[in-house]
Amino acid sequence: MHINRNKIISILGALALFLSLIEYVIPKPIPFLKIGIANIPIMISLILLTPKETIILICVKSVGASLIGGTIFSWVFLYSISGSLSSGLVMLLLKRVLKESVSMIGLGVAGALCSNLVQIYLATILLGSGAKFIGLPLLISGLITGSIIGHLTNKFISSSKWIRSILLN
Amino acid sequence: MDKEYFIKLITGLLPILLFLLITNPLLKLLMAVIYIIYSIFSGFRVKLLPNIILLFSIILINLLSPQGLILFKIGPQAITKGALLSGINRASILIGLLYISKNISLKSVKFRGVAGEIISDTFFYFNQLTSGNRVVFKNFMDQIDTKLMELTHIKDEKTTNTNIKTNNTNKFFLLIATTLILLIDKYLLTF
Repeated sequence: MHINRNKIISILGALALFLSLIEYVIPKPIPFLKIGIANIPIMISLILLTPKETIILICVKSVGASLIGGTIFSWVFLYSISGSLSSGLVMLLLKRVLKESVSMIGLGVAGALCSNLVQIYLATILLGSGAKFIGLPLLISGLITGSIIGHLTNKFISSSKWIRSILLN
Repeated sequence: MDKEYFIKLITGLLPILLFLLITNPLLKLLMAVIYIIYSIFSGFRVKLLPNIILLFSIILINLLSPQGLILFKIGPQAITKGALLSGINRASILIGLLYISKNISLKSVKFRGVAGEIISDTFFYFNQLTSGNRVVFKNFMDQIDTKLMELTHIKDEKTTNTNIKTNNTNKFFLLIATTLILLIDKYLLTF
């Protein structure tokens, strides 16, 4: 059975929105600390989609998640989309260069760190140099959440019948 | 832009966007309740108890992260206004989106071009993910995988919701109700 490429983007986009919704209802103990389960579809797209399609998916996810979170008309959206795009680009680059030598955990950590670095940079532009003090805790949290997301993605990819059926097409 | 396309676009997408723009948690909860009542009248089988449990669980989880004015204390746990409102807001969004998705078949909303196709299909698949059997925490990944398999095999012209009363008049009711609540939120509550 042939599956339309755009359909895969839409299904992963819908999954990202669904996971954003689940993540939204879970309270965060610290405002910037979130696991980022909505990034799992982005990581799955690294093995299913082309770089261009992955970037489209990132945009769909960022806009949709901001709509659900009610942050579409705020600075938070700028943080979100710039963090997501930069981490997506880094993960794409690493996947393209290192191919099978890099695991999803490695990609997850690299993506999370890159996203956090961009967000810290944006925060220092918008809020002044004081914002750099949140840098260390943010990077540590990125290291932890990136590993968790990478592990979950690995687990999903290895057991998913859906991914196998798409790859066989 | 032809008239039918415009109507489908407005009635299909706008209620969701307007619902998400409501800022007052209590109005958002009211809107979610209206969507549930509307779903019952539209012929959907609605179980109230799971929704009530969902509402209170989300509020309870949010109460564990205190923020803002302390309303009262239960043992060592302070019940704060900010956490309570945040819980109501989050639960209302979740429940509201579940029921508005049941009532609006977004497959009929077609945007033009490839980007348009991706956006409308994303909303359609999101609608399918949030309707049907609920995903529970146990075996979460297997359930998601099954849902993805189901989505991949949905035929373009066949949707699970279209055979239930979702004509334009019904969708207009949702649009008007959501707009009214949003206007109350934006104007009446600020004065």
